[in-house]
Parts: sequence; structure tokens; C-alpha cells
Amino acid sequence: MTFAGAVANFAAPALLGLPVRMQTLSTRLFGMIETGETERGFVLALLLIAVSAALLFCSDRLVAGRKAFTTVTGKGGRIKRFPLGVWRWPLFAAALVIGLATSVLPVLVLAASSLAPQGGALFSNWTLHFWIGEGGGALAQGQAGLFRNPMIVEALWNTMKLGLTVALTTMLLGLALAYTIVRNKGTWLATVLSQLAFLPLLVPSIAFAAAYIALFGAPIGPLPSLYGTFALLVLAATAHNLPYAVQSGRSVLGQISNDIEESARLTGAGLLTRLVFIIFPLTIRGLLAGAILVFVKMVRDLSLVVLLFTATSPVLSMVAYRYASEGFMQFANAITLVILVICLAASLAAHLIQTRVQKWKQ
Amino acid sequence: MAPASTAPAQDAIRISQLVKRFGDVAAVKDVNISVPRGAFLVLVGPSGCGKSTLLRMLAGLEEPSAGEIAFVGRTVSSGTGGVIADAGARDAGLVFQSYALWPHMTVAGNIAWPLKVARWSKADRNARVEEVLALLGISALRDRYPAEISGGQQQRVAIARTIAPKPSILLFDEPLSNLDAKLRIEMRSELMRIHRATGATSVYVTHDQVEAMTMASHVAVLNHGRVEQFGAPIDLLRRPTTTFVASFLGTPPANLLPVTRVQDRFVFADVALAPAAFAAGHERVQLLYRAQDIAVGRVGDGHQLVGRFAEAAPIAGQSMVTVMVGDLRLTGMAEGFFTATPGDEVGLSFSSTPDAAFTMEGERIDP
Repeated sequence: MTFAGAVANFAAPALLGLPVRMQTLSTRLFGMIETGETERGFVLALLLIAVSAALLFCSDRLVAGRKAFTTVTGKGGRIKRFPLGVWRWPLFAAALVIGLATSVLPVLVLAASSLAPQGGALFSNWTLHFWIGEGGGALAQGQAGLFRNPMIVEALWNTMKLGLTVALTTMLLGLALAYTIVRNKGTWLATVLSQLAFLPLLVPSIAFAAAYIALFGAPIGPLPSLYGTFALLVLAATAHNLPYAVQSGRSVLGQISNDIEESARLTGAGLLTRLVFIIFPLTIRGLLAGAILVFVKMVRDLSLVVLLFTATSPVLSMVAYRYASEGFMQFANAITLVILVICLAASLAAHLIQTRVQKWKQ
Repeated sequence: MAPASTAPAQDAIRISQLVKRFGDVAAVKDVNISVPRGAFLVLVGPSGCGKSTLLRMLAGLEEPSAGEIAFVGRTVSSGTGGVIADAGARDAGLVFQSYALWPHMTVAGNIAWPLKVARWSKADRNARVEEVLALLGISALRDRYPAEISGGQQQRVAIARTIAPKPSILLFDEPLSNLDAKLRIEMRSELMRIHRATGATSVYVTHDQVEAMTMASHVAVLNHGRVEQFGAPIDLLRRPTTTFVASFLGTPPANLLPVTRVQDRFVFADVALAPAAFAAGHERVQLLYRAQDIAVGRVGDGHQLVGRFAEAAPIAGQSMVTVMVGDLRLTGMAEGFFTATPGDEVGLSFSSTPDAAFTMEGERIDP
């Protein structure tokens, strides 16, 4: 899984490989489509799909037999605590160091570098110029700070809009698909749907984006060309995130016993009424978790948007990427921090909503 | 409206030649049952006998493979038409074994929701909720969530929710099986009170023959998807038509002894039990003896069989004594409290005539 992910990853090689001109399949693909060699790009996309599909197929064969899973329901688990004895403090220290080194430290470095005018000297001459500075100064070749740059502010709104829209469309579609799959278990319809829903997982995001350009780049019948529009981004992102949504939908639906829905059916409630008043309130917690996952993925995502992006609808990750490739690491880091804050806020909000909407769970 | 004079149409529930197949396996085979309005029909049988499948077909959650179900003269399901009247449109309510309460609604919310779906006005809804809460004695729980109340209380809520829209047919799927013994007995009379109060026709599925005998106006004993016997509980107890019914119903269970004719007597383990004339023309039969027709110890010069003591249970001043004779479990009665060590030799005296005789295949032989 990780290997397949690494082959298809765009963001890491694109940014880390920049200074040394290291190329991978996915960065080449981006370069080709960027420079107009669309056909060659599509060939590369197919190659990329083939590589990751082959890898996933192999890994699937290795872990086959784990097809069935059971859901734990009812009374809930009981947590057993045991004293760690003399290991208590060393283990705590180890946990702290690992936690700090992997998550807190990079954030601090990011913050510091967004404040430092020179990349080589992280902790000297700190300035807030890159955040709120006026344009026209000596720093950053006269560019204004983050919050004074209308393009970045627009990108911020675009990002939020994209994240929220995609989270909503994905979870609704995912729930509908998951419901169909769970309730028709064992029929060919359910089997075909669940296989189809997993297909996007096989396709690396950047190849996925290429496919969507090929599909919607030109007008189809009455449909106008969607290239570069927000709609295309939403469409591609929804399809791309569908496997996660279907999976989380299936797992939350699996926890609702058939009886609960049948008892609603016996009252004469139609499918829509049951979905709105029974299924939806009971699955909202799982759905929110899934939606947050999708939202966070979308806000951070670069691979998918990098191809579908145009100057008219920039998103934060794309802007950060462009700054990074132009050498304005401070701006890029500052934007990354903004993305991080959005993601944290989203998960915090989800947590608050969850505890509010499911009072009965206590 | 159909004319009220036609007798079959008056049956509240009419099941004819009903069959349900899952793949190659027939879960319900050729079931014919009809009960009048206000009846309390109990479907009883061991697990896997098809009783729950039958109930689900009555509820409209499962479609029959063949045959037909009619409620008050209206065909609601058939083998050719599938589910004709949808589960929500057959004026029936189902109480689930798991209660199936909606966990995100309060007790009052659970009861009011079906009424909301049925488009009752808010005032009617509130009045009805109060009414059924009072009927079930759970008015104090109205604002609680299902997870906050006990199993017995959840059961009451489930029943309240089902009867709130005033269905003319009530279906119960083993509703008491998750309750402890004492609560079960309480809820049994509670359910009968509610049945009378609503005037609905009830169908009740259980594997507990005591529930069947105490609650039913009509009992259908099911075995392997087939109705072994259908009738009033007392009739089934008095005149079981098969050995399955005889051994399934009644407390303590009736005794069945396989016997062979030797000259003019039927003999079990060298002990002559009944005259051959009791089942004339049969060489090997099974004799049915009620526990009260077998006395523990020697009584007069009666026919005595000796076995090994297994267990004894006091019941109404007497003791139910179970003795193993070879592989056969036999239950007789002893006065007062009987005690013995398992394995002790115990004699059993049989009354001069058995209750009934059955063929070795289990069919009743009428003398």
C-alpha cells in the first residue's frame, strides 16, 4: 500500500526533488501536461495506473483471506489499565520525544521559517512581513504578506469551498452507495457496486486528474467543457475520495441492525423518511468522521488539484507549491501553516458537533 | 367493503398453503392456519422450525414462495404476487425480539414517530403517547433515551410504540426471551392484558411452551417448517396427534416408551405395561404416560420398572422425579419432597392404562 502510494505521490517528490531536478513518473506527468504534451502525459498516466494496480493486486493476493470482517456491537469495550512500574517515566519520555519530533517540531520549524527572512538563519531577524507585510518593500522581491495578497485570500476561500463541497458530495454519494451495498448484500448489484467504488483507490490522484481532463476537457454533447472549472475539481475529487466514503459508510451502516430499519418500515415510513429520520441521525457520527477525513485530504491535497487547477480557481496547496518552486519558502511555509490550522480546526469542530448531536450515546 | 356474511373473509388472519424456500431449503412448508378476530395465536416450536420466517411473512418483511396470506379477507401476500400490501400498509405492528428501539429518540419520541409518519395531528399524537405510556405504566420514562432504561422497560417501550397507531394485528417475535424469569412471568400477564385492551388479533412466536400454553387462544406447533398440530392449547395437551407435540408441550414433559407386543401385552425391558388391545394390530408402538400416571416407588402390585435417579424438582407440594432407564429419561411424581443421590436405584410404577399410543413413526393410534 505504502509503496503504491509512494510511486503515485506527487507532492513529496515535486517539492523535495525540486532543488536536484529529480524526476518521478508523477512529476514527469505534470510537466508534460503543463507544457502541452497532453497525449504523452496520458500515456504516462496509464503507465502509472498500471504500476499501482499491479502493486495493489499483489498485496491483495498476499493478504487474501481477510475478506470478511465482523463488527463489534453492543456493550462496548472495557479499557483495562495496568501500572507500568519503573518503565513509567522512560516510556513517557520516549512517547514525548517521538510525538514532539514527528509532529510538533516540524510545525515549529515551519512557523520559524515563515518568520525568518533568510532560509539559512531560521531564528534571526524575525519579521511578520510574510504574513501581514505591505507590498513594495525590500523583502520577498516586493511582494505583499499573506493576508494582504488578494490571490491568497481568494485561494483560502476556494480551498474551504472545495473542501466543504467535496466532503458533502462525497459523503452523501458514499452513504447512498454504502446503503445500497449493505442492504442488497449477496446480490450481483452489491458486488459490482462495491468493486466499482474501490476502483478510484487503484488510480493515483495525478493520473486520476489526467483522466478527468481527458474526459471533460472537451464539450460532451450538451455539456460544456469543464476544464479549469470548480465543478470539474469537485467532480474529480468526489470520485477520487469515494472509496473512503463508501468504506466509512459501510462500517457505520453495518453497526445498525436490520431490525431498527425494519421497525421503521413497519410504521409505513418510505425509504427517504427512513434515511432522513432513522439512518442519518444514527450514522452522523461516522459520517462526520468520514467527511472530516475527506475535507482534510482535500485541503492538503496537491496531486489531484495540481492538474485541474487554473489561475482562476487557485487553492492554497497549489499556491504553496508555486511559491516553493519559485523559491519563496517563507510564503509556502506560511500557507502550509494555514492549511494545518484549517485541518486542526475542522477536526476540532467535528469533535464538538459529534458530542452535541449524539447526547444519547453517553 | 366486502359483504360481512362470507365466513372465511371474517377470519382476521388466514394463511393458506404457505411455502417459503431459501434456495433449496424450505423453511416453511404448506402451512394452513386461520384465526378469528381477537384471537391470540401462538406459533411455538424449537429453534429453526420456521416460526420466525412465518411471522416475517405475516409482517410483510419476507415474501412467500407459494401460497397466500389474507388479513380480514384482503390478500396481503401471495406466492404469485409477492408482497402485495407493503409492510407499512397492512395495519399490523411487530414487536421485535431485540426491541429495535430507535436509540436517538426519547421514549416519547419513539412512540410518537410512527404516529408522525401516519400523519396524526400533534394534539392527537401527544394524547395517544400519554395514553399508551399510562397503559404500559412507563409515564415516568417519557424523556429518557433507550440506552438509559432497563431491558424490561425497553420491552414496554417497544410494545407501547407498536400499539400506539392502533394496528388491528399485533405480531410478537419472541418478545420475552431476553428478560429474566421473574420479569418474563410479569410481562406475560401484562401482554395478555394489553391484548384484551387493544382488541387486536395477536400472533406470538416463542420456543417456550409454557408461554404458549398460558397465553394462547390458538396454538400452532411447528417442526421442520410444518404445522404438527393446530388447535386450542387444552386440546393439544389432551390429544396430541404426534409424539413431537406430546413431548414438546406440558410440564413436566410426557413420557414416551417404545414397547413391543409379547402375546397379549406390550412389554418394555421385560416389564409388561399395557394390554395389546390398547393398540390392536401393532407389533411395536410408543406408549404415552403422563408424569402423574407414573408413581415413584412400588404402588400395590403395579408394573414396576427400575432405573437410576437423575434429578428431582419440587412442584406444588409434590416432586417431579426424573429417572434414567438405559438411555430413556422418564419423569414420575412423588408425594412431598423427594431426595436421593444421583445414581441411586429408583422404582417406577405405571398406571394400568397409558394415555395414548403412537406408531414408531410418531403418529397417534386411535383405539
